[in-house]
Amino acid sequence: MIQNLLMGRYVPGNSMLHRSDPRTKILLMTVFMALVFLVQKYLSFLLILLFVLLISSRAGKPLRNSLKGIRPILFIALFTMLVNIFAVKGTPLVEYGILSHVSREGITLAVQIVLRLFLLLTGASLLTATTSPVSLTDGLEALMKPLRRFRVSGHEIAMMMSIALRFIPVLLEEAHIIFKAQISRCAEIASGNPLQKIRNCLPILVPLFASAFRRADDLATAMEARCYRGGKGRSRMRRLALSGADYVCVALMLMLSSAVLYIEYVSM
Amino acid sequence: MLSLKLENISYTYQPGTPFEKTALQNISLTLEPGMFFGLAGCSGSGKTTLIQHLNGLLRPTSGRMTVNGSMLDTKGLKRLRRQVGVVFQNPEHQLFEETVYRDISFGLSGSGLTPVAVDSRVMAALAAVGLDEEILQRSPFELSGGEKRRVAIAGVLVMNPAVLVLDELAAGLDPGGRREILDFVDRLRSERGIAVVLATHDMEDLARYADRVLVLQNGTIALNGATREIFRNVEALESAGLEPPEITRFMMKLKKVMPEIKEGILTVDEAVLELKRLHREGCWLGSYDTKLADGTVRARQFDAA
Amino acid sequence: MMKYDGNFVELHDVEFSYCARRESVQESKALDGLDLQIDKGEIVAIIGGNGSGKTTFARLLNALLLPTSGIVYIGGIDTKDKERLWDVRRIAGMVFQNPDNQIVGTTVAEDVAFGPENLGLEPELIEVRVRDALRDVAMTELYDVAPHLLSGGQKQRVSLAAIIAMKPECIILDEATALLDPVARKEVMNLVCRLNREEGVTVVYITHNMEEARCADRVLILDAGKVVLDGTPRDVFSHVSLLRDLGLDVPQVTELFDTLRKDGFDLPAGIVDVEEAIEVLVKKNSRKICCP
Repeated sequence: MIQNLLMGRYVPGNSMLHRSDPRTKILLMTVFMALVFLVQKYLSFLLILLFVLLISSRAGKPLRNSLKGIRPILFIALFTMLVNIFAVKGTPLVEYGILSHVSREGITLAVQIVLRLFLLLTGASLLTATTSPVSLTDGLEALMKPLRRFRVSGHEIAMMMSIALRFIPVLLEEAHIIFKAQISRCAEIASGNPLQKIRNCLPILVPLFASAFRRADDLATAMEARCYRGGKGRSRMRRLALSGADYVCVALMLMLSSAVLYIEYVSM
Repeated sequence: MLSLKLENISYTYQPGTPFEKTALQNISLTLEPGMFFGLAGCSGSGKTTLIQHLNGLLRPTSGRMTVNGSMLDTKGLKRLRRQVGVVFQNPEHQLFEETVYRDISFGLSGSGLTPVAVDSRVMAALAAVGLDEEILQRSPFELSGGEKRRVAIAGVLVMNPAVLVLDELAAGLDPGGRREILDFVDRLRSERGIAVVLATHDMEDLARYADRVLVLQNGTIALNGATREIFRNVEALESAGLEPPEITRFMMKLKKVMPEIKEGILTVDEAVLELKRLHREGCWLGSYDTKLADGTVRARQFDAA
Repeated sequence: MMKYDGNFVELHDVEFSYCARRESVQESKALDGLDLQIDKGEIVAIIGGNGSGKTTFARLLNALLLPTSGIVYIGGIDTKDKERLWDVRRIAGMVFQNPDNQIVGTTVAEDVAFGPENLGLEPELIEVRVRDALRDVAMTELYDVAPHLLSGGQKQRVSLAAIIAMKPECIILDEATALLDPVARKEVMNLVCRLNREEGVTVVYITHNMEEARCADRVLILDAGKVVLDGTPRDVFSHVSLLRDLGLDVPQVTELFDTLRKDGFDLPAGIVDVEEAIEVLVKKNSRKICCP
């Protein structure tokens, strides 16, 4: 379950989004995020929302699934909403006791925040659902190539991410085994006050860290044995290539951006 | 002392989800004090799942488990885990404390024992695994692999369990190390009268030490009985991905040519005794003639062995 | 004396110490004056107890370790030659003991491609190498599977494919089957023996398992950093008492014959095989008198 979250719940498929180059998707995702933070008017929100829902259903993720995606953050969203409704000062909605603290501006802000959260989450999960972890790291590595000029090795960052992704399930499984072993020795892992709870995690965390270091050591040796010497001179089996799907996605995003920007800045 | 009984245990992981997997089906076994019980099977056969039932880490999806005749309840779990000590595979990877002493005594925290009592238990456990007292103040991370493994075992022994369950205890050790560690477990069993359960896929280990063997295949019982009986079923063992020890296979093949050979030979020593017996009774391979350097033959140099 | 003699693997008076301190050099020598050659296409099994130096020896073969003194030649290349370090590692590929800790890729195909990618090969060629290697180890259907979903045996086969894809001249197994169950162990050894037979790949493997040791052309017994025995399995395993003293195993039939021989029975030494042992006994049984 946790693994699904971290691996982004990649679901193989053949939609237009699946077929797009990861570089395109990452860049468009950035543009999308910028838009979501930029907009103020309800009409823009509506437009973006429709856009996302349309793309989701085309990518094989109907509304139901997208709404399910909210569940992890539902509590935070509600909390934020309430805070904003009551804490933001402005023109009150009604004059009636405690409700007089509720301002119009507060409600607007609260609704905007929730909408933004939903759109961001849905957009991000669209990316991870249609792009395998392998593709994502390939795309990031390719996009980071220009950073070499500033002595940032995109290859190394991508390699670190990819190895981390590869070992998350392994370490999770090991944590589980260590947990069982310590429970078998009558360890009290879950009880006590919060401070005690942290100390009680040591029997799992310490061996897990020791194991992670040991694995890293072994892996580094194995990588060297297979002639790994960093990104220099290295080729890639998977080649990234732009296709028709990319052009369509870019075109769609251009249309959305223009429409939104028009609504925000040009119309009344 | 403790007697443990599993009756028709089945276990399914994540029932009702698309990831549902039946790991165990209809497993029954009885553990009595002093018994050396072998649990054999390839990876994926359900050995580790079964082991986790023995100390209550997992509760069966169906079937029942009784300890000394009574059913298990949640309150009794902690007591069960002190009585059934489980050593998982690669136990040296679970050490975490600052000193060996603290790691070994970890299992007794919350047991209500006085520091003096804890101390004597730790010393006893240390002696049982053959380690020296000076190791107690060192950090577990400074030790060699073999020492770490023994410290981990001591950490379970310190609870004075009535049943010791070992999951692939000798995995990754060289032959000398294997023999040493299994010998000491067997010694513990005879000294303390505890029951030992050894889960492994190494048939030679089981041939040497086990009284009874349960062979698992895809979560079901393929074979169940006394060690000697089990090892005669070569086809059943092979379909479970296991093989009887080389010497057993050898004697069984030899039996086809020499029907007088006894069944169920488990070790080299037994094979030696059996072949000598046959020779004594005259129906053996008469040739212990020796050819001398000059080409002459001296027959029957030795009489009864 | 230290000149290259033309064998695939050559060690000339090789010593290796893990600590650099001079005073304790005597005690801490992992390898002590090793002198040996391995021919191209040989299958060599290395057996030794804890601390015998077998892992150190294996790591000298692909330049993961360099000798503290003496020379190691792999395929004619001096492992100390910095310029040619990566050539050595391409020629001599190693599979390690822990199945998880040598898989880098997030899918099987990605991991097998890792080696060829490091060599800077053309993408199309890499794809061909990956497919061929996976076919060789019978893992083609698992092309896109994440490694954590594989069994131990499957993981080791992936690691083997990852080496095969680099087209090595020698494959080194550093106790690669130690953590596998009997079925998986046999699969890996069969694959490796087939590679040796069909493509002449030299194989050096460290093992404790007698079944595996029997497949070798040649067995090396190491103890305290020195080679104690070197010969065919037959020759080596006939030294039953010596091996026992070193804390090592011999095949059970060999032990059986040796014990009987000590008690005066006329049985040949060096029988390492169940079938062969039966044949010997049957032949000698020709004069038997059966009891009623």
